[in-house]
Amino acid sequence: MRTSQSIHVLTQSHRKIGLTVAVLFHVALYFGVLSMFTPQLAQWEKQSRHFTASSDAILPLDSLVPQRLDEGTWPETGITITLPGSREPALAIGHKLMAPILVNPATGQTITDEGPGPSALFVELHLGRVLGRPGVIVMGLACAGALFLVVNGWWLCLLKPGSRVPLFCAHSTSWERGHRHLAQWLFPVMLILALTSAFFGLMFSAGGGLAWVASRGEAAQVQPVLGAAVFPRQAQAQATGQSAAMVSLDNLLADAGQAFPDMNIQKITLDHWGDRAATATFSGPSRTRPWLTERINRILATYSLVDGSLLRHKSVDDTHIVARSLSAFYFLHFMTDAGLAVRLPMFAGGLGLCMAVSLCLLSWSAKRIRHAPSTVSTFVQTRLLAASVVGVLPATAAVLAAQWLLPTDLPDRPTWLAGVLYLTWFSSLTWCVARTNVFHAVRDLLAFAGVAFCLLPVTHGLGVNIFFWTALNQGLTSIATVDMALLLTGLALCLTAWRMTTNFPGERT
Amino acid sequence: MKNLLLAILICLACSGLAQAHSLHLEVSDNGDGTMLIRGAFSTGETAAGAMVRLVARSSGTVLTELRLPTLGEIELPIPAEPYDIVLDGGPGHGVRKAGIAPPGGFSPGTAPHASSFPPQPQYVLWTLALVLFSLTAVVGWRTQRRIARAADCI
Repeated sequence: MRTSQSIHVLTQSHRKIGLTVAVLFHVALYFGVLSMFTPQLAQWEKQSRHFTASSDAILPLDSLVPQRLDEGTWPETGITITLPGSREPALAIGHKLMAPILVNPATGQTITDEGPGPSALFVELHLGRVLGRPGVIVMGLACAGALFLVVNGWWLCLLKPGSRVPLFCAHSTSWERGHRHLAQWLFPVMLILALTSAFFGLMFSAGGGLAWVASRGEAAQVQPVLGAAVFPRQAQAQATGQSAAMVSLDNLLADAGQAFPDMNIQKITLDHWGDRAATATFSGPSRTRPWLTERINRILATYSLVDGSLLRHKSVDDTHIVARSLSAFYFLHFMTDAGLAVRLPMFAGGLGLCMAVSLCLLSWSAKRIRHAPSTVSTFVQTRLLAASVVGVLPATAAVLAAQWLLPTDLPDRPTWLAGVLYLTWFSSLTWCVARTNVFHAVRDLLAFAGVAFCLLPVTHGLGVNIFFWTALNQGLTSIATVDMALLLTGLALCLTAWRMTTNFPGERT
Repeated sequence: MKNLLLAILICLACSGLAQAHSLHLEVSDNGDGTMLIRGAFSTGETAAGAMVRLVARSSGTVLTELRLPTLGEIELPIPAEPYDIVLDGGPGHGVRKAGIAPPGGFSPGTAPHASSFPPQPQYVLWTLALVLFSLTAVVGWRTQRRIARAADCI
């Protein structure tokens, strides 16, 4: 009796909370999965990054950096040199208060950046930042709700293993079975994603509140309260005002690489360039323990730019335990420094979770249609759900196509790109309400998206005159991989649409 | 158990440390024809090194351009024509404020440039969204009626 009561409570809470947060969580998750490939997409969407720079062809830093530093007016401290890598093929010389100067490391030519493209928009949508602070808070709450759903759903599966009692309707549809099976198979990955999403989603928005409470209303930001304790800053040397000759950056880079082989050097920070107090700080994640050095706990080695002596070194463990724990959380969610062995299971988990949410919403729509096929509330709810969940696919294809179809010198281009995404997404709702059978509309949207995704490599090829095969021949592996992934996604969507024509519950009309 | 809870709370709070900081621009009139421009991040860190530009409203020309020194504040003479103060803190960080007037007011004959708000893309996109919304409402109403009629027949 107690078990049946538990199942009833769990089922009810799973259904109600699921309906409240599922659409928002689906949006966060879908764009989060896309954001896993932000570096690759960013290279694909920008013609300026269509070059390959093998390590043999990269010019020495000494011929690329000092010249740029002498040309412009730079702040005294904090000039950063980001080395070319898998995330960004260009060498970036910049400062946190300046747009970086991008250099093709193979030719030494300065690159003109095209500005933010669709991949940046996907990240903004993932975080909810397109709606400002309220958007971030809502996304955080949705992720916290999703964490509850993952745990609650798993508990339900444990209480009724192989249960044939459906959550939503009298007929256990293939969608609902798919939802349950996906949730069971991908539980560990889903738990990690939901937990870290809720953690970051809530705390990005609520961290200020905690700081306010902890400081008794004196600080509204976390940084002033905890930053000094968790990330203590070293006293910075003051400029002497005496100019001095700088040692070779390439030699220092080689020295740092040899002295600290565990440090995967990605960034060099220059302070007081040209002065007797000039220093270069090499930083990067650990090669052996990348989960402890993700984003915030980098290994550091500071050298004098005058005599090349080592001034300071910070290893993985020379930091507060909170910084290391936080770094692990970042690693599990953002996976910036993770290899394919971590990325692929997380991607599969994210995709599976996305499909699980879509299937449960479609299953709920089928149930609503069976119980009240002709009511206005059923009509509105099912169409909104279909357009929100499936309509995002053609919208994604449309914005990626717009990246290559809109003129490159169009003023306020990012706004136009965002407009294309939102309008296409909204027009999917128009299509859904135009069809008397919402599942026909879902099938149509899948087919539209499939065809559009299949055409994207062609659109890209016509835009830059680099097609899949030419990209492969020129060694542009990232570009060719994205082209192939888009084509395969399109084919998968077309196949799903084709399967839906014979295998879905229809409305009575 | 208490320590564990405390550690979790600190971890939770610290995740906000990595979030984007907003840039603040403060301008105060010294009363002697000069003004003090101060740039700082919401975290309390000064915006030393950020570029400050005084931009004429009538022509859009840059009247003055310099970086904030180490203290994060700088004193400048107030221009005679209407202008905006732009604090450029790099990608994603930029603040624009209307400049304060000099003691005797701005020179006559330097009327501010006509505002271009709302910008064109937003205008076009919102119009399209409105059209699409109306179309959706009309089409939806007709479809719902068709569904209701078909249900009545059954």
